[in-house]
This record gives sequence, structure tokens and C-alpha cells, in this order.
Amino acid sequence: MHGVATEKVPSGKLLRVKVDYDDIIRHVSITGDFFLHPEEGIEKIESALFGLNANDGEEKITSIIKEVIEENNIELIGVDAEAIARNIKAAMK
Amino acid sequence: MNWRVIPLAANDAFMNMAIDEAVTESVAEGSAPTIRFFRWLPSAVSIGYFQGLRDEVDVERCGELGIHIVRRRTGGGAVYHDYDGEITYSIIAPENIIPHGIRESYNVICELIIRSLKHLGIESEFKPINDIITSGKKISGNAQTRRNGILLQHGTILYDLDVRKMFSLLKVGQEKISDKLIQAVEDRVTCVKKLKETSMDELYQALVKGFTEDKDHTFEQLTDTELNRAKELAEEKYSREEWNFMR
Repeated sequence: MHGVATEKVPSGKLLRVKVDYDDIIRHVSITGDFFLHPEEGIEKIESALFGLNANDGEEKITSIIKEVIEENNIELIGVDAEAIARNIKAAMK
Repeated sequence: MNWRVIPLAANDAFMNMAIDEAVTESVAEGSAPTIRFFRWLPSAVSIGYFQGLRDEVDVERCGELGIHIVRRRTGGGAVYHDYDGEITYSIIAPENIIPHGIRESYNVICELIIRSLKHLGIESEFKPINDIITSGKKISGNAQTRRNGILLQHGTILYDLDVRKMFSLLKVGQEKISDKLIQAVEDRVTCVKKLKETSMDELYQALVKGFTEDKDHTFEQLTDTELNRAKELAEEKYSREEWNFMR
């Protein structure tokens, strides 16, 4: 299955998340006009989400994203881990 | 510290983004911090690093009009760079000479544009995260990245604005391009020409003054090494579908 969710992050930028999934998350694409440094960090976040159970909650997804952010010294501007997790769940509804 | 200023020049979209990257590499190797001014010929659309190209751009329409499309190394939004409608700048310098975090450094660099506009008699202010506004309307958008200790910020200063053309190239959600929508954008975006009777050259001179008046600087051209590297990057990266359609 394939889902898309879009949100203008409060006092931030536009975020659009596309998710391919069945029982598990197969692929996540995080797009939008936000900033993320270093830019390649986006792929690290996306690949860390592969294989998660599609029923996993927003909190678990948020904590995985935060782990990747911390491990790789990623800085997000105009978007945050919570918004990405929220939209991943919304895309799978 | 001496800055190098590369005077206003027109290049195609791929070369413009390639020059930014080539200069970033040469500054990392010890070249002087650099300010460059440029225009886009042919007119082009650039999209932010994280944007989905087909989400943002009417690719077929751009093709019909001969408008190039390029993905930037920087985040931010899609921009239509009209050859007659704007001047773009890049500032490329070691991070430690603009000693602030990313958010604050936007403010510091955008101050150069605010100062430039003031030379034309236009009052403006920084609007976080990355915009400059005048009387509440956007007149400049900016985007930044950092690599190997080098900061690259580029941005556009709108000289003239054709909202209808811009919207025929960029996807604007589900809404039809109605007069009402055009009006809504014109209420949010403005350009130098609407505010002052000013030529493009006068805008350029004001930008040069605003960017350089507090700096030792010399006007120079790109080196052969930079130009050759830029040509390579334009051909092998910025003009390639693998890069531009990556998202």
C-alpha cells in the first residue's frame, strides 16, 4: 500500500511524507521545503524507518528518528521528529 | 581578510549550481571567501534538496518553454528564476568567519541584503527562518548549507515579478490559477521594481555595495580550476536526472 500525508509544520515548513507499507514499512520518503544539515542525513532517517511494524505508534517512530538525529548530529530546521512521525502515521491511515 | 567578489554573470541553471559547489571546494582548500552575483540564462526553476521534483514543478510546461530545472544542494522551496526578474547571490566562506549557528547566520548574511535594499531606499527586515520582507511582503528568499567547514548561502532578490508565469511552472496545490490566487500571492510577495523606479544594474550596484562595504575585497573571475570543476559538476551531476529527479 502507498500513502501520502502533508502538513505545514506549525511555525515551520511544508512536510510531505510518502510511505510504502504492508505489515511493515517498506519505504519512507520525506520531502518538503524544510532544511536539514547535513542534507544526506535525510536518507539515514528514511532507512532507519524501513522494517518498522506498520502498527508501531507515533512515539516509537519519533524516538527512532531522534536516535538517528542524535547519532549523526543532524540539525532540523522548519521540521521536527514529531512532525515526521505524525505524518508517517497519517500516511498509513 | 580579503574577500573575492565575482561580478554579475549569467549562466544556465546547472552551471550556476555547479559553480557554487566548485567554489565551495576551492574555499575549503584555502581560496579567499567568495561572494558571487549571477543570473539564470535560460530562466530556470530550482528546487530545494528535499523536495519532490514532480510534486513541485510542471516538468512538461518547463520543457515547452525551454526553462531548465535543477535541484539545489540546499533545502528550502521551489523558486522560479526569471532572467529579467531577479539577481541571485552566493556567499561562500569558512564557517568560523561567520561565527553563529545556522539560524543566526541567516540573520547575519541577510543583513547584507537589507543593507543593500536600504541603499535603494527600501526598508526591509529579516523574517526567520530564511526570508526578507518589506511591508510584510517577501522580497528575498535564502538557503544555506555547510560542508567540510564551509558555509554556502545563496538567495535571490526579486527585481520583477510575473506571478502568472511563475504559477504556470510551479505546482500550486489543487487550486486553479485564478485571479484570486494571483492576487493572494501579490499580497504576499513583492519586488524591487514595484517599490522603486530602479534598473537591474542599480539593484546590482546596491548589492555590491551592501555586501562589500565593510570588507576588504577584490573583483576577480573564477579560476580555470574552478571553471573546469564546475563544468564537470554541471555535466556529471546537476544536469543529470539521477540528481534532479532523486526525490
